[in-house]
Parts: sequence; structure tokens; C-alpha cells
Amino acid sequence: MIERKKNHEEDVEALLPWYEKGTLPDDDAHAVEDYLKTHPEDGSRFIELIREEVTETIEANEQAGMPSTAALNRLMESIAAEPKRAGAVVRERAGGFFTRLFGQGSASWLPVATAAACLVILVQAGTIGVLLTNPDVIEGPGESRSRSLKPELAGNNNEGTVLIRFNPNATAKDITALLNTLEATIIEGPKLGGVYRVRISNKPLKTEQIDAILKQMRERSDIITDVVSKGAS
Amino acid sequence: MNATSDEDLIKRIAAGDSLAMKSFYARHHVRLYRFLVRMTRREATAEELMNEVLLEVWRKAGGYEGRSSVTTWMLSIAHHKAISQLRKRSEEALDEEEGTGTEMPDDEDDPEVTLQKQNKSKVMRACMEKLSVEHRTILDLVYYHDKSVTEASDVLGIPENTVKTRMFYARKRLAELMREAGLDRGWP
Repeated sequence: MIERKKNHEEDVEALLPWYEKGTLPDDDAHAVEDYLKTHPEDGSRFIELIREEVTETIEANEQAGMPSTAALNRLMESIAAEPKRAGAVVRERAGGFFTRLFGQGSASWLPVATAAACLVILVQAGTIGVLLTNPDVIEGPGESRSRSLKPELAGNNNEGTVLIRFNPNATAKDITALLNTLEATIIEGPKLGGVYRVRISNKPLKTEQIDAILKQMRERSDIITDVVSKGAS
Repeated sequence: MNATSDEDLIKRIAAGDSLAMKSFYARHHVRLYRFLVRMTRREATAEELMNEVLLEVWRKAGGYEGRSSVTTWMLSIAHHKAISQLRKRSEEALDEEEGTGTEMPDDEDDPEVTLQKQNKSKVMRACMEKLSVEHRTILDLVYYHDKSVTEASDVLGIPENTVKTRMFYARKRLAELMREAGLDRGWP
């Protein structure tokens, strides 16, 4: 009997931190209040100790500081590189299909979804045979014929943009990680053919700087299958 | 005017609303970052993990079922990622983080604590830093993030009774460390 009472008191004492924070359900809170009434001295001493712990825990957390102001930009860039999802504004002609496909959920879907989406588009455009022999073939929005991934489509070099086609087997995580490494941002796409316009710099770059970035991209054929920039080699 | 609830933001995020994601970030990033700093003890790692957690929120918002609060759900993702990160570190570093009986060096090995004996607050915070990551995290969840027993259980993925006993032993260990540092709290 005495042992049981002692155990009950210990159980109630274990709830004191939550009682002090006001996060106990009502029945537990009533049990603590009963305990505090019957043990006023111990109760007030325990509560005082807990208040000290609360104060110092809050202080310790506040001393942990804040993340850098660049963190939000990095997050939004990562999100921009994510597949579009159902309900989002769809600009691309085939975007509805993409969003239905990608909007199903987890990133694990991405390789399959991307491959399937690209396949459907290629069948629609009737370009599978051409692609098999020429990986530089794309179709732009509103266009009905095949064309190469030509440098002039990549935009002005001074804009620091390139056209990219991702490897259908690459995961969203891989793509995001590579874009972060290169400090690159997707600014448009996917266009038909799975082509994205990607900004690689906010300031004009020299030809050799662009070539260096393109070289890095081409070395990652597991993630990027095609890349081209106007005037770049 | 009522503030938009976390649940409403998650619904908008699930629909691909990036503005809602920015609002969510503004509302939660500081506490999330601090939770991760306290677990990993590395600011750069914490910031990287913070963005990974928020990217996960973006990806999985459509699957959020409301079985726990949004912050509990988010912190459970953060806890999982932080633990994975800690496990990637060397065994030596992991032992240092997770040790339960050897966290507190002698006063001779920690002159800072010795010098701060006159300042109870500083001693307590120094002793909190000596706690194992599990003990530090449960204190943070209950005292800073205001998590109930059930919510802490959800975040940590452990039974509610384990939450209670872990909290008890965290506080007990803190008292022992303070006693060793020259401040007897009279409990336990």
C-alpha cells in the first residue's frame, strides 16, 4: 500500500515539468494539483527547480542564434527545382500531364514519372527515332517540329542562362544537389522535350567561365543528358 | 483578423503555393534551426538540415494528415534527419554525443565551469551542454518547444512512458552535473 502510494507520487512528480508548462491533459493536471495540495513544500520546491530549468533552457536556445539570411533563397531555389504539382499554375502546354504525374507525391516517383512523361511527349512529337540518333533534339512550346538543342535557343550569354535536359533516371534530390553545387537556378521549364532554362550566374560571365560550368554539367551525365549555351563550346 | 493556421498553410503548400511556403518559413525557421543546432552542435550543419526539413515539408505536405500538430510533424522530420546526421559522424564523435555516464569531465578538465561557479545560470547552461543529445533534446522539446508528453513521443518516435522517464533522467543528470560543478540543487 505504502509502496503503491510512493510509486503514484513518483509518477505524478514526473509530470511536473509538463504541468508547469501547461501542456498536461486535464486529468493528469488534476492529479498534479492534488499532489501539490498534499505536498505543498515539496511541490513548491520542485516547481521552483523546474522554473529555473525552463528559464535556462529558453536562454540556451536563444543563444543558438539564427540561420543566415541566404537560407530562404536556397530553399526557394530548391523548391523551384522541384517537379510542379497538382493545383499549381500550369504554363506549359503539356504541364497538366506533368503536374498530374509529379503531383502524386514522393520524390521516389520522380525517375519513373520523368521517364514516362518524356516518353509520352516524344511519342506525341514523333521524334523518338530522331532522338535515338541525335540527343540534341527538343521541341519548344507551341512548336510542332523537332529541332536541335541549338545554342541560339539558350538565350543571351550575358544572361548567364543555359538549356538543360535532365537524365530521366536522376532523382529530384540529385538534381537539387547539383544545382546547389553549381549555384544554378531553374528559371523556365519544363518545355516540351523536358528542356529547362537554367540560370548559372546573375552577372555576365566570360566564355571560359561558362565553358567551365558546362564542363561540370557534362561530366554529370547521370543527372544532365544535354546542355548548351549560346556561344559556348 | 485571424492569423492563417499552420494547417491552412500546409494545405496551400500541398497545392504548390510557394508564397505559403515563405510564410511557413517565416513562422517556423528560427525554432527549427535552434532545435537542429542544439542537436548537432554545428551551425552550418543545422542550416543545411533546416532546409532539408523544409524541402521535405514542401514535398510531403500533401500527405500531412493532421494526426499531430504541424510543428510536431516538422520536428519529427528534423529529429530523424539530425539523428541520421549524427550517425554519419565518426564512432568517436557519436560516443561523445551519446555517452550517458562520461559527459562531464572533472572540474580540472573544465576550468570554465569552475570559474562560473558563482553564476548559477551559467553553470546550469554549461551543465546542459554536457548532457547527452537525448537528454538535451527532451529538455528542449518540453521547456522550449512546449511539447506535451504525447507530442514529444511523436517527435522522438518513442513511447509516452519513455518520454516521461527520459525527462526524469535528463533532469536528474543535470542535477548531478550541477552538484559536481559545486551547486547542489537539493534534488533528487
